[in-house]
Amino acid sequence: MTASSHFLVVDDNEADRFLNSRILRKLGIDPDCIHVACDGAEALNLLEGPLSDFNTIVLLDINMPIMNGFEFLTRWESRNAGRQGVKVLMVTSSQDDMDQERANAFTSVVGYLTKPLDREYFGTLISSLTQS
Amino acid sequence: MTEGEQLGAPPVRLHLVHWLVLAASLGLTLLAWYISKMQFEDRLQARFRHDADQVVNLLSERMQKYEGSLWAGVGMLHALGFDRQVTRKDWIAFSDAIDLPNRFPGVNGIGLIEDIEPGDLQDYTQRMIAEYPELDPFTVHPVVDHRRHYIISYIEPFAKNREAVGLDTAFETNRRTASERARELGTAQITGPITLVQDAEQTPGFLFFAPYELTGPEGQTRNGKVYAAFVVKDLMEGALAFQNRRVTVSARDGETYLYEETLGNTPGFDPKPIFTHEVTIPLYGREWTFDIRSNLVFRDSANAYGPTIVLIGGLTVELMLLGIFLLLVSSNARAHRYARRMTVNLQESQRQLQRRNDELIQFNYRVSHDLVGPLKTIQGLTDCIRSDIAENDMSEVEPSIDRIDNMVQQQISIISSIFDLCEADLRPQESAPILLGPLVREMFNRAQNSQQDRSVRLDLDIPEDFTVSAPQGRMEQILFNLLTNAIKFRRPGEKYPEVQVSAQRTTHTALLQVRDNGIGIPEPTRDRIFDLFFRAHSTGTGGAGLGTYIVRRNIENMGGTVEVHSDDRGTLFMLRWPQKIAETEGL
Repeated sequence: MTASSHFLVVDDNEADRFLNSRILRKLGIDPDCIHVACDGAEALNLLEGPLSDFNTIVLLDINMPIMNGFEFLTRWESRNAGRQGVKVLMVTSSQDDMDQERANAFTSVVGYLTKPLDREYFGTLISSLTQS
Repeated sequence: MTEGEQLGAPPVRLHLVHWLVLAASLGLTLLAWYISKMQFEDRLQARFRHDADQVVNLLSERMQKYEGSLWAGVGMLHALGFDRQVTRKDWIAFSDAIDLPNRFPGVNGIGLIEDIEPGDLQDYTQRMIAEYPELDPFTVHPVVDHRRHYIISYIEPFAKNREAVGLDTAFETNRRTASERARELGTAQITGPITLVQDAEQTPGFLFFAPYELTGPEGQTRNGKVYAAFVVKDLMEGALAFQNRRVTVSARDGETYLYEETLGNTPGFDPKPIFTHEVTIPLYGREWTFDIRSNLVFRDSANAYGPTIVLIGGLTVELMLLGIFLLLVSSNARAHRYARRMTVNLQESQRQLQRRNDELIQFNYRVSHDLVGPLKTIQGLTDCIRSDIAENDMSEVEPSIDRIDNMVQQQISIISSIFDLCEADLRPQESAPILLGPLVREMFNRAQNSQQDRSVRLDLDIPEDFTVSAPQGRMEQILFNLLTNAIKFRRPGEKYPEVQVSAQRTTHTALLQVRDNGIGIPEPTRDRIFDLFFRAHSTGTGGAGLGTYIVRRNIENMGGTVEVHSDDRGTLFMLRWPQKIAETEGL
């Protein structure tokens, strides 16, 4: 794990934010490197503000008010084309193939996970992402 | 072309085939009429020719009959012989025998003309004086100097012909010429038109001669003529009865009229005859021309009802045919229109069903999907608790249980909302008059309780007795959700948070307005707030994104609409739905 990797949990549901943050903590991520946002708009503000200098892995829910996951991705990729340090993991309860296809069309999306997260698989995935 | 034009009543148009049938039928009618008219005219013409021929035939027959009587006289003379001079007594006997007035009507008289050489005139006169003691005395008149005298010796009936006795018919060309021709040819001859000396009316007449020649033992001869005198008028009227005659007749010899039926003297005369026929026949040395015209009796019998009936009948059938065609075409068009309308209605129903079905599929999908999410989260939370217990780390157990509690509450709320909505759809209520003011207050109370927030004030701008027509259950859901939103999304720090409810009603429409001074709806998402599970705000309000969806579903099921206006000073919902006149009037 590199110290420079940050995590951003984007979910409108407080319980889900709690659960996802907790898994990260349990994986040994420094709590200071774990950030949360309630919707896409807040996530954009963080990524383009305080987190702009960090490699960040985003755990992104799809169905959110104000700005949902897809709106966030569209907005993010159009405004930050070529920025390498941000990787997005979709974390959603949607098992819809359409949603998955749609998500995979974004270049910054590197994985599509369904709730609840499997801690072991998630851990392996995070390690490989942070090491690459 | 718009749908309305398609459904409107198009003008009734006959098909080409209809027109062809009508034209053919009209053509046949006219042909039948023409043929029947032609046939009728042919028949008419034939009838007239028959009548005309009959006139000529009657007259010819009559003349032949007269001729017969003349030759009878000649026969008597031959029977007496050359030596026996015929006497006045003989002649009277002859005349009586043939019964002249009855058998030969139209004859003025039958007489004997003797050809007398100038040298024999004296003897002749003496003989006649003896025969006519009542004449004072018998004279040959007029006195003419001619190579031969043709003198009327006897004529019967005497009384009406006495002026003729002693007349030397050689005095005048017509009589003389006919006399001489008869003698030369030995055949019956008539004179040209003359005026009989005995005819007081001085109308045209003629003499009809049959010559005789009696030969003596030494070859000497005695010549003369048996003759009849005719007034043409009497002849014609005798031969042609007026009754039932369909023609008028005029006769002339050359240019001289013998007999004329004219407008003045003839009943039934037709000044404009339908047919005329002129025929010239040779008649005993003369040529008589008959001018025969159809008269009014003929005209009456010539009324051509037949062709007219054919024409009227044909045209009537034609009109009926046209009527039937129009009827057929218009009912056909009606059927088409009806079918088109049914098709449009069916298509519309199908579209509606399809829309409903799509909506239902979407609804089911979204509902099941959005219900699964929170359950998975709950599952995650219970996993946490289990592992915390296993690790004997109780610090996060309590908050996790609280979270589960919250989520279960939220799910219960969502499911009961969906249940209410389904129930309203499943058991549609009839619209009924609702006292709106009290209902708004009740729903506002319920919303306050559910949100456990009494800071928002209700400003009710509805008269106490104001009623609208709506299904009670749907109206409750609408008001509850709108008022709940007004409370839920009040502006934090607003000194006087309030929700204003007002209503108006026209004859056909009710308008309900719910206005708050809350946080408003961000512009980009305003269009989507009525979508299922759409949430405009992510503040901890615990909304499931169902409230406005329920409002829309209900108002649309009532046949109404909802629109939203919002800015940073608040939100206004405007709902309109139709009113049933009878129900509101009954209140």
